[in-house]
Amino acid sequence: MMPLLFILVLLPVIFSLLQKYNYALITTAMFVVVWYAYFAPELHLLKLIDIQL
Amino acid sequence: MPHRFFVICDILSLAVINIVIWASLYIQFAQYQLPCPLCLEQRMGLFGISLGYVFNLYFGVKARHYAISTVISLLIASIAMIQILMHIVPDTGSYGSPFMGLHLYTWVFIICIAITVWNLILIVLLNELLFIGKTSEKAALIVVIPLMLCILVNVIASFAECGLNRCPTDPKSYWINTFLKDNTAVNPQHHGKTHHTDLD
Repeated sequence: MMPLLFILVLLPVIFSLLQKYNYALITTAMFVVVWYAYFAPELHLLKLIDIQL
Repeated sequence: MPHRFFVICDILSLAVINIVIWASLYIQFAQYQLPCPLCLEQRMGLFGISLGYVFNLYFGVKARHYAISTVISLLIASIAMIQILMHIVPDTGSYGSPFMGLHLYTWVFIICIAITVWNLILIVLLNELLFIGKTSEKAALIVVIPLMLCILVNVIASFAECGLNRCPTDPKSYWINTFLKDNTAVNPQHHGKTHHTDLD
């Protein structure tokens, strides 16, 4: 899964070189969504505000 | 500010991100420090930040491109902060060796906050009405091609470390090594006299 995520971030760069704006933006959005979804269980962002040392 | 100013700023930003990620690859391969999942995620996020600058170079300078970089940099800053907080309690250890007195995830946090401030300053200085149309720069290839190479190296390195599975939280060796070792250990059994070795 991790290599595929890196490929997802490579695609917008390639589309930029080809000057395809929509594809670049779409793949960027995909990258952010998949990236967050994949790591969501590890992130626990909400727990940041509930830390008790 | 003239258009060229922003192009130069974008190229400089990409150069800095390139240096940071190539340095992390150097630490991974030269010092044999395998990245944890959170470290890989921060690395991936740095590529995400670079997308905004790449868009600026090839689709024209726009505030929304800086916004893409800023949103992703804030997300990574929070991820780096999680890792800092995981090790903030005394005697909980740390991950990896420090660089100039600070651990790499602390550096990522500092870099992300700096990038956020940098992007916001550029947005304040930006007047989009001055810039119409696409502005591709040949000089941009000097930083974009190393960036693409770096992503490709990361594709291969992360495959070697984790395969297509979820990465281990505290990796000790590359997945590809154990995979190859297991296969070479199993193959003689398959070519041996009996087919029931797995049941023994």
